[in-house]
Amino acid sequence: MLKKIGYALLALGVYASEAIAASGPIAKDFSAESWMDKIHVVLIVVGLVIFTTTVLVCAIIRKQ
Amino acid sequence: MTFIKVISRFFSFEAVSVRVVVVTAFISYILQINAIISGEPLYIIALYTILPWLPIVFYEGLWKVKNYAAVAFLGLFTVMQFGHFAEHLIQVLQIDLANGTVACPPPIDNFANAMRGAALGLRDATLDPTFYSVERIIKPGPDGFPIIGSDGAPLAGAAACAVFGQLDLEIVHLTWELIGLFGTALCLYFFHKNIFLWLAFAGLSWHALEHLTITYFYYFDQETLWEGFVQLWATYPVVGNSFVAHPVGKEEAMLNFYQAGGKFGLMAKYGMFHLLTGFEGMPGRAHLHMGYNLAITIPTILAFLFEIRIIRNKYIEMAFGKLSSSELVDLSLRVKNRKFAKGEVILSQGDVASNCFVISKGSAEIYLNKGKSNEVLAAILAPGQIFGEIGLLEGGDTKRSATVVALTPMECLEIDANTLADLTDSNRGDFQSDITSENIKNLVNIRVAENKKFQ
Repeated sequence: MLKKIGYALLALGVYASEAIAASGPIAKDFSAESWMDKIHVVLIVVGLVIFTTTVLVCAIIRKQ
Repeated sequence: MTFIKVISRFFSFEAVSVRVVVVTAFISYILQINAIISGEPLYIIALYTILPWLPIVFYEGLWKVKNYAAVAFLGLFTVMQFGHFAEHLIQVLQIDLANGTVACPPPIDNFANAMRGAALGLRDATLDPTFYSVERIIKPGPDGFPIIGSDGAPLAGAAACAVFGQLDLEIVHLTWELIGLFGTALCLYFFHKNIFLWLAFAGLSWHALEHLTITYFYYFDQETLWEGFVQLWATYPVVGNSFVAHPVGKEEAMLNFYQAGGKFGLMAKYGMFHLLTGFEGMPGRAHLHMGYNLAITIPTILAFLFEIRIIRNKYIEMAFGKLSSSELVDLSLRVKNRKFAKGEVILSQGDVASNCFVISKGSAEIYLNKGKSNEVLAAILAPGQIFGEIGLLEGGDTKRSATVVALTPMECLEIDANTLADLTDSNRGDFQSDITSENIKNLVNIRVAENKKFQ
């Protein structure tokens, strides 16, 4: 029974087949430069979070 | 003292009967014992123990939200937040106290890992993979093989992924984080003056930065540009269905941004801040995220404790809205939830009166001379309305003046005679609201007059 559930979850892609999340070492050539190449992603996320937070704060304050 | 009563009342079952709670506890206990005897790993034992409680906790939670409104939502949200924090705390304890290895989700006893285990002679070659997650991991060294301790044996410890490590997935972290962010915003919608909630909200906004960034890289940046290794495992059972992961070397692989280092996020050791500044004092991801959750959970708990001081039943407030805030809290503590089936006779005319009720769900019909030739339907009452008070009041004859029948399935809040006597005498007892006393007396006078009209 458990095996069948395991197969079902595997098929759904929910069940990770290898341990990778937040584990293992850093790759040899991974450096500050690697992050700088992706800094646009970080800045977009920062903008998105600031926007979302501002909208939520405004909605809360306006309701009062 | 009232505060402790309020807390214990909130965390007790009010909507679910004692019988159901006892049966659930029994089923949970049987499943737990069965899992232990069967040699199941801790996460299966925990799952079986928790599973039977979920339906009644869900039902009770809905009831509380319906009766106590936003405070109940904040309370349930606080409980879930605490559970999330507990998982992070357990992971850190596994790392620091149980020689744990962070390989999350824990390696699974799948085909590849089982085959390696069989090839090494660690398990019976005829034993099929079970797809259980390992509970223990032998620590791998830089070469991907076991680190050998001073006693000559491989160093082993816990799989440091908390209890339900299978859920240690980036999408789960992000989902929970966003539920936290928007759930706290919803709570702030009702409790905007609560400074602790604002602190939790600030912490959640910051935390969202981490998880949105990490999850983006996990799902959307698949270009493999970095040379690296993938750790290989062999799995084998030790006791019952408890499995161990044994490191069996590393396989060269090209890694994407997440695998190469993006998994550490913005502020953890080896994360963006560390690599950009060279500052090596940041905690590892597990410790950092436990800290984030501590910084969110503590203000959330304080926010809840602040708000629960003035928790009151919504229907009690509807019926006795002129009481002071503390009196409403006190009265809400004194009532008892009662359920009635459709068509059930709740009170019978002529019976001795010992209590009265406030309707919290459904509606009731008030009959005079029920079952007799001069039977009259005097009124239909809805949630927030009181009945049964006439026979209890001074001037009443302590007998029920009407018969009350449940028109639909009903839930009522029962108020005993002493409490109602207290409510109607503003010069003594715990409830000293002149207006409430007058309102109840006026209500009784109106109903008595209406009853007389029908007779």
